[in-house]
Amino acid sequence: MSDYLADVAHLFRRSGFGALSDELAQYESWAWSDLVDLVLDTSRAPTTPTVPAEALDAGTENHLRAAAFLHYWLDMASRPVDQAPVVEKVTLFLSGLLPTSLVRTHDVGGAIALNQLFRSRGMDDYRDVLREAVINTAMLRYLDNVYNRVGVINENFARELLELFTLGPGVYDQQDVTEAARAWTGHGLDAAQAGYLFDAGRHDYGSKTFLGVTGALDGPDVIDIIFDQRRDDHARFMCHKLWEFFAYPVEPHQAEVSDIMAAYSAGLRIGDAIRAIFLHPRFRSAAARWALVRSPIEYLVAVMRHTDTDCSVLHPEWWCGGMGQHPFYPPNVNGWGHNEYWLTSSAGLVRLTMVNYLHAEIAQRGDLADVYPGGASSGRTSSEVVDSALANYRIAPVSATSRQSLVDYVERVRASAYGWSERTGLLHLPLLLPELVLA
Amino acid sequence: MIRGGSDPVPSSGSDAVSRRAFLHALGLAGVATALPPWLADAAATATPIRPDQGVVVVLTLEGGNDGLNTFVPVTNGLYYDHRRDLAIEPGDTLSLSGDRGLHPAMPFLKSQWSGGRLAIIDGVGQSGPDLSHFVQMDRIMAANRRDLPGSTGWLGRVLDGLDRQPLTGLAVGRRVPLLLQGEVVRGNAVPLDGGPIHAVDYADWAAGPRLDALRQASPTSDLGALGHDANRLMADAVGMALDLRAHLPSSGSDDPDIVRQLRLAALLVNADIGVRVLSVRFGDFDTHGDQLVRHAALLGSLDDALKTFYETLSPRFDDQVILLATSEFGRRVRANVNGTDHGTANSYFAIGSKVNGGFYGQQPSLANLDRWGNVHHTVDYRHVFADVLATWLGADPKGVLGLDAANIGFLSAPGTSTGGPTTPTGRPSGDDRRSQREQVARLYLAYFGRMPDDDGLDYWGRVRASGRSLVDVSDEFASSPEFLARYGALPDRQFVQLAYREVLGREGDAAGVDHWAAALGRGARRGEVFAGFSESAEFIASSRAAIDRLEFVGPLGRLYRAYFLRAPDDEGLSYWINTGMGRAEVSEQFASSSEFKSAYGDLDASGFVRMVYRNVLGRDPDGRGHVYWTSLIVGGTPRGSVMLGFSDSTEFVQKVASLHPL
Repeated sequence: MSDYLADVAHLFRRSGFGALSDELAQYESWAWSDLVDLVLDTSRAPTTPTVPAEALDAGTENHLRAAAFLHYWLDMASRPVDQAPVVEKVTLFLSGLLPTSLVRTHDVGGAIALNQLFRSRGMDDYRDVLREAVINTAMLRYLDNVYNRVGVINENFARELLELFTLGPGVYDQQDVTEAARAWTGHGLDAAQAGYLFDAGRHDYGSKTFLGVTGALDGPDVIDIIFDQRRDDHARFMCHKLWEFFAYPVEPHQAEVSDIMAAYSAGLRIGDAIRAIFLHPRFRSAAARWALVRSPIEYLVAVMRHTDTDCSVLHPEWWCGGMGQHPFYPPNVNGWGHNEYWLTSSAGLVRLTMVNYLHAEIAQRGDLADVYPGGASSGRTSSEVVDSALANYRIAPVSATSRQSLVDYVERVRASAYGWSERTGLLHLPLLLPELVLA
Repeated sequence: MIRGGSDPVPSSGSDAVSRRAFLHALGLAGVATALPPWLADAAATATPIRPDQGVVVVLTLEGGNDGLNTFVPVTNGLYYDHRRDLAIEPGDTLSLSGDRGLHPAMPFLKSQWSGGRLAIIDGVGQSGPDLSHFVQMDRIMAANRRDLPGSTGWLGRVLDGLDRQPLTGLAVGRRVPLLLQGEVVRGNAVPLDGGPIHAVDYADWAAGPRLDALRQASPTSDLGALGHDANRLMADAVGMALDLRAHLPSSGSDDPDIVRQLRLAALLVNADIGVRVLSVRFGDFDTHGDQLVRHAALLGSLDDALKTFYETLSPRFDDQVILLATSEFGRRVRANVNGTDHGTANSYFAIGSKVNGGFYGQQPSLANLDRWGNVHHTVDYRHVFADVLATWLGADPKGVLGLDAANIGFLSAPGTSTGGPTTPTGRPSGDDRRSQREQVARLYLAYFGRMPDDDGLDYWGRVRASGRSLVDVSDEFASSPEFLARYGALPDRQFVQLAYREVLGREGDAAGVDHWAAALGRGARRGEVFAGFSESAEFIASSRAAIDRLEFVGPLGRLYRAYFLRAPDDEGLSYWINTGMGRAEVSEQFASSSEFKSAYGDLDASGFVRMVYRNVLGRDPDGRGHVYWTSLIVGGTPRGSVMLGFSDSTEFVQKVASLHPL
């Protein structure tokens, strides 16, 4: 694979969930800037379908509602590379940045509303996204702002707003946390516990000093002060997160982060920052390719694409938790980690279990059974059946080491008493290659 | 002391109880079955631990557990002022001492306290505490010289210095925390459900060549470092599954996550595959809101999980495993509307047979708070870890943490065959005579299959209270003629096998028999083996019903009934036992009580005896008995001695026993 082709495949993995081999062939001759325009062109995204009734039905158990919505989401994410899957990638990013957990909130409706917010506006002004997210019913519950009242403040939301949503530790002090909490008093739920309500009787109208600004500050003022008074700190915080999500791990002060801050700062648009990342020369270095591990959600979507299955077959909700990432049940308010975080023996064994299951489903389908007649008696060499197996999954040419591992397998199985199981192995093993596990 | 009268001799009297009645099956069946031949090479990578090596289970309570509401300072008015509706009333706690009470959701932890197996270390924190969960969690997991978040964890750095086998450090569940990240080594993660482990099955669908392909995948990858890691990880994962599958059930469970986690942790120790360090994480303890309900639910699940852990853990590891509970911080002293915000110093706790039960450190003052209303720490958290390193893992605290061991004293060395007696000595005495007597009673059950007679129990209880260890007592039992007649001629291995059958009522698993036989081969005494069996979690669990009944049907419980016509309460029993008084002295005390005097005080000798017959034995006196006791009183015998005589009579012993059926 040429370096340019490798870069194109890399761009599709990072902007979405990876390209099938035929998609790659279709776009390999495009200029880089055209490709970046293509993957970021949100007008190419299909119309968002209606949320399935089961996900919205208050009479259904929460975990079933969450699973129904996960199906809806990941089936949507599993779309061609020229239909702006980046929108779903950003939705996933924001799900980790502004998380809520059904364990604490039991608020499926709120979680769905957040997910739809990320989808519809995640690429745009983060200030707008944040303003709406913080008064989402699930968020108000998750971080206890429903209990934040004048005189008896609850610091939970204010602290995470500063530490995890906008600035990161070290830019503010405990006094700022307390003052921000005072500003957010009274922002809670209505009497029916169904929607956001500002209760003036619970709001602290006194003077506060937050990040050096003094006044009778209200919650939304706090958000404005963060973005207006500490824009560089916020831009570094956000661009660091975005660089790590879309490119590779760096320290916050590294040049790559600084390089994209201007693009982001101008309008606080996440889409602008992503464009700057994709156009950054270091995004296209050999060190950047394969420098991320796919999160379980990304991996499961990629598997569905390569096996031509959907959520009704794969049932991602059966596997994603064991692999460490259930979108509506984050481990804590810090969301998920990246890279080695996902490379655990536990997750590896769940991948193996999933492939065992999926193989049985695919084998039943029948249409794959005759795609590549294998076995020594077929007269096809080990290399030929391996290439055929990869082509069958529409996996673009893999590295020499990965291909050799499959060839070795075929020769091993042909030499054993289990030669008849060659095709089974060739249905399993490609889905466990580093090419699928990494992004 | 009249040794002759207190030798434990098997008896067919009323106290003899069939061992069968005590022992019931535990959920350990199937452990350590023979490995299928194709797994032999894989399993060979797992190396059992030595009997003098310790295993530590670090339980991280994520989100900031509220130590003040876990170990409640029941006499501290400031606590009640600050916590208001969130405070736990003294009467609602499980009493630990005069001024501390345990959260009511934790009866199992209370039992560990009563057994001298729980150390509570107060005031654990550091200078310059951060109120961020994530900064603070990274600091306590890193535990480095500068007390800053870092790229390695303190147990990861220990793993670097150990054998570097893939199973030495394990995280239970999906994630490998910073705690287990070393410079070189990183712990593996074991899936919570057995399904993925059992998915690695050479017997299934001719999977052998496929699994071999994964196990022998190229150690390098053209994709670079992460590709290399991904390949190696899959090979490790398949190898780990092969090592573990014989030891773990394939079925799932509906138990709460933490119960499943700690059960799995115990099974991983039982597997004896070289595990030294286990990480278990549980939360979310971040109770900013709805604290009373949420915290009680969390602690209740935790208590169930701890109970499950000790019910699952093989007895032979009881002296080699400690469980250390930490949290990134405690919670604000003053309550908010219905919860507490982030705080600072907290109570850590440790459980185990080698833990020296009691309070350590110092409770932070609630009068001297920082400007945010948080307490000041009294113990550096790294000092707690330093003692675990030095005492339990044989590692150098200076090298790992950058500071020396503090010798807080909550921990004794692991194992049975080196460095001192099996049973910790030096526990705070004076409040655990009762648990010492219970240990003696278990020893009787283990050796002779019956409960002790009163005199034997009193005698050996006093021996224990005088400072001699349970192993000392066990050594004496092991020299009894009865024991020698039954076991004396057997070679070590058969001795151990017979001990499994006789004491635990099951066949010894191969690894367990090997372990004990090897220990004996190195010079361990048979008394040590029996003490290990009798204090094992398995035996403690199976004998619990009999032990719980012990003091109710014993001399003190009978005196209670004889004097006051009611069963004693548990705390009353503990109080009188822990005074250390003999039963004659207790009887004198009871006789001088106003309750007794108001009931019997006006009666003459004859009337007193008649009344005692009716009240205690429930019948009128027979002629001879009436005359005998009346004449004693007239002759100057104190009424307390008469009561003791009634209380110790065979008739009353049987009556009380029937009131507490097994």
